[in-house]
Amino acid sequence: MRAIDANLLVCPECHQLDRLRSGCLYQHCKRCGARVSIRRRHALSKTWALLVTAMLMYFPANLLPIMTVRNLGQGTPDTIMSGVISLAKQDMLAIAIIVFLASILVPTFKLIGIAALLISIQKKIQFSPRQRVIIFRFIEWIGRWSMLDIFVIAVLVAVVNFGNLANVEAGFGAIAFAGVVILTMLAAITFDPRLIWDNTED
Amino acid sequence: MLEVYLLGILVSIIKLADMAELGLGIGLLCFVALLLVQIWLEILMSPEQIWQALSEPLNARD
Repeated sequence: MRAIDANLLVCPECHQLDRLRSGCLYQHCKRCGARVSIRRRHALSKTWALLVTAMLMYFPANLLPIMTVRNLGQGTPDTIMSGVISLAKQDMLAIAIIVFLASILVPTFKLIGIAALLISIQKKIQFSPRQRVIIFRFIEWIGRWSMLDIFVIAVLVAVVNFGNLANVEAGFGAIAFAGVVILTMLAAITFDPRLIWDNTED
Repeated sequence: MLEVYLLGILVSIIKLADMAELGLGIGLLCFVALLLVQIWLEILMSPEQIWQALSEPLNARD
């Protein structure tokens, strides 16, 4: 049984139960004043919009250089993948694997996961609610780890600044990559997890 | 997000280690301590209990 079948609403902020008032799109929580609605309006189309934007940003993020390390005036721009490869070549395999997981595997699986979740809800097939919940938890929990590369670039740009001797510049790929991470995180927030259980009762 | 930032700092330290000489400051130690205390706080805090206490009428509390 869902709360909506019992004419009840749960506050997303403080988890207070309230009776459903008919005839309005949303109401305010009695205890904390947060806006409570049965289901977030247009949750699916908003999530789709954010997801498609993230997918468009995904290509420049992986193809354009994310940063250039200049040492005595010399240096080549690094993309995400070439950074991982150069880490692996310098015998830092563990770090290379972590960066590969956080910067390449996680964003890719997140994009595929959110798309699979949305399609399975709209077509009402393919996944059981249990599988959908597993996908949703994965997306929500793992997403922020992709910010790792952005933080590394931010720290390096700030710390390594010795004029002509050595400096680090961020490339446009970093902006696109940050865009992918932030947009997929927003998509995970915009998505209404209650939709997961909606068309499974019958 | 703090734990992600800590990992970011560690990766940058490793990337910089072959380029320059690095020393670890007390700030990093404090940052790790902050991270641990914050996780501890998140484990201990129970938001339901706090909302419960806040929603009790004022005169019932004293």
